[in-house]
Amino acid sequence: MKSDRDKTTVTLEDLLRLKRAERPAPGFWPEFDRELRAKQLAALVVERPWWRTFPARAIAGVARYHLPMGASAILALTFLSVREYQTALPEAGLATPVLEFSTQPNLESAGGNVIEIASASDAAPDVRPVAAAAERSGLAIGEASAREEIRSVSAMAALIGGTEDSGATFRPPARSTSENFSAVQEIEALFGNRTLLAAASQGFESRVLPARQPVVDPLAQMKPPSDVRRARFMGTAFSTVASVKPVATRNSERLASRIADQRLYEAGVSRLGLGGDRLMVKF
Amino acid sequence: MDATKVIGKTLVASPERAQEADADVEIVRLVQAGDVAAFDRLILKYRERVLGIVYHLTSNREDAADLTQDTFIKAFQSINRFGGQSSFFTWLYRIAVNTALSHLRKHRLRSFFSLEMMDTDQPVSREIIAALTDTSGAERDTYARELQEKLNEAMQKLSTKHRTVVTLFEIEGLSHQEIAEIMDSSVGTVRSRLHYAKQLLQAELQPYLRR
Repeated sequence: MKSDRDKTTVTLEDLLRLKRAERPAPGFWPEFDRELRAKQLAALVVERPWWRTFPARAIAGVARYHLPMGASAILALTFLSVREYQTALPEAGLATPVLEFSTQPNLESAGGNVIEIASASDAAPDVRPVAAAAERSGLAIGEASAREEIRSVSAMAALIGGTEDSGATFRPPARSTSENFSAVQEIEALFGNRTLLAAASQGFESRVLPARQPVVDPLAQMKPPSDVRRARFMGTAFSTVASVKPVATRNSERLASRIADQRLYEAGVSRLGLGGDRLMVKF
Repeated sequence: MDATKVIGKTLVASPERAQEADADVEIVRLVQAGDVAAFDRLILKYRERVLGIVYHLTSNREDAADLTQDTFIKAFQSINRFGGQSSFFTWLYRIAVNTALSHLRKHRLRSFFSLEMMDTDQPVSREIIAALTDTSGAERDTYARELQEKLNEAMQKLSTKHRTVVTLFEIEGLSHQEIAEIMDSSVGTVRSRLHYAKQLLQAELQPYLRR
C-alpha cells in the first residue's frame, strides 16, 4: 500500500479509509449486549393495541383517585351541611318571638274566652275551650299576621289616646317582655276594661314562669275504683281520638258516659283473674 | 425495469459472500422456526458492521449505539417477513440505513459530533498519518484528532443520500450493486451520487490532500 505509492501522495480515499480506524471503547460491547438483550426481551412481549388497553387503563386511573374523591365528597357534604345548618339557625331564632307575640293578640281577639286563660293555671278542665280557641285562631300564625294585630291594637290606642305615638310602644315580646307588659297595662288604663288586662297579666305569668303545682290534699287526689278502671279502659281510646279531632273527643266522652260503672265492673271482674302471685287479664 | 436497477435480487460479489449468505439464511430459518437464541449469532456477526454504518452516517457514538440496537430489534421483529429474495446482510443493512436516515430526518437541527477514538496504531492509519505529517508522539495524535474532526465535518456537509453512498462504498467496501440494492436505487444513481460526493469532499479536504 504505502510502499507502492509516493510517500507524499494522500488521496481522498486514503482519508476516508482513516475512518475505519475509529473504534468504540473497549467496554462498549458488553454494555451494548446488555441493553440489546433488554430491548429484545421487551420486544418479545406483544404490545396490545391502545383501544384494548384503554378501558383498563382508564379504570386503573380512576381507581387510583377513589380515596381522594371519596374524601373530597365527604368534605363537601360536611361543608354544605354545616352551611345549611348555620343559615337555618337565625331563622329558628326568629321563629320563637313571632310565636309568642302572635299568641297574645289572638288570645285578646278570642273575646270572653280570654278570661278563662287566667283560670287555666288553676283549673285543668277549663283549658279545653281556650286551647280550642287558640287552635282555631292558629298558633302557627306568621309574622305578617302578628304585625297586623300590632297595627290594629296601636290604632285603637291612638284613637282613644288621641296620639299616633302610642302605637310605637308596642314591640315584639322577644325584645322585651316587660316593656310589652307595661304597654298592655297602659292600654288597660285607657280601655278601662280591667278584666281583659288582668287576664292577660295572669296568663303572662303562667306562660313565662314554670307552672307551680298547687298544694292539694292527698286524700282529694284519690279517686273511686270505678273511675280508675274506666280511665284505664278508655284511656287509650281517648288519647288517640281526642288529640286528633275535638268532635271525636266529644263522642268518646258521650260513649264513656253511657257505660255504666256496674257494667264495667262486671266485665272487669269476669276478665280479671288471680293465679298465685299473678294478675291475669283476658281480652 | 431499468437494466441497471436491481431490486429484490440477491447480489453476491464473491464466493465467500455466497457461503456467508447461505449460512445466514440457515440461521434465519432457525429463528423463524422459533429458535430465538439463534438470532444472537447474527447479532455477533454483524453488530460491528452495522454500528460502523450508523456511526459514519450520524457521527455520534451514542446515537449510533441506540440505532444499532433498534436495527437488530426491527430485524428480529420482522424476521418472519424475510423471504430470502436478497441476502440477509443486504436486508439488515437496509434496515440500518433506513433507521439512521429516519433518525437524521427527525433530528435534523440537533446534530453534534460525538466521535469514537481513532486507532492510530493500525497499520493503514499509521501510514496515512505518517505521510501527512512528520511529527510523532503527542503532536501526531493531536494531528490525527484534528484530521478526524475535519473528515466528519466534511461528511456531515453531504446530503444523507450522498453520505450513505460514500459510507457504504469507501468505508464499508460494498459494491455498487449492493449499495443500489440497499438504497433501493439503480447502480447508475449510486455511481453518480458517489462521484458528486467525492467532488464535494475533495473541495472540503483539499488542505489535507497531497498529490
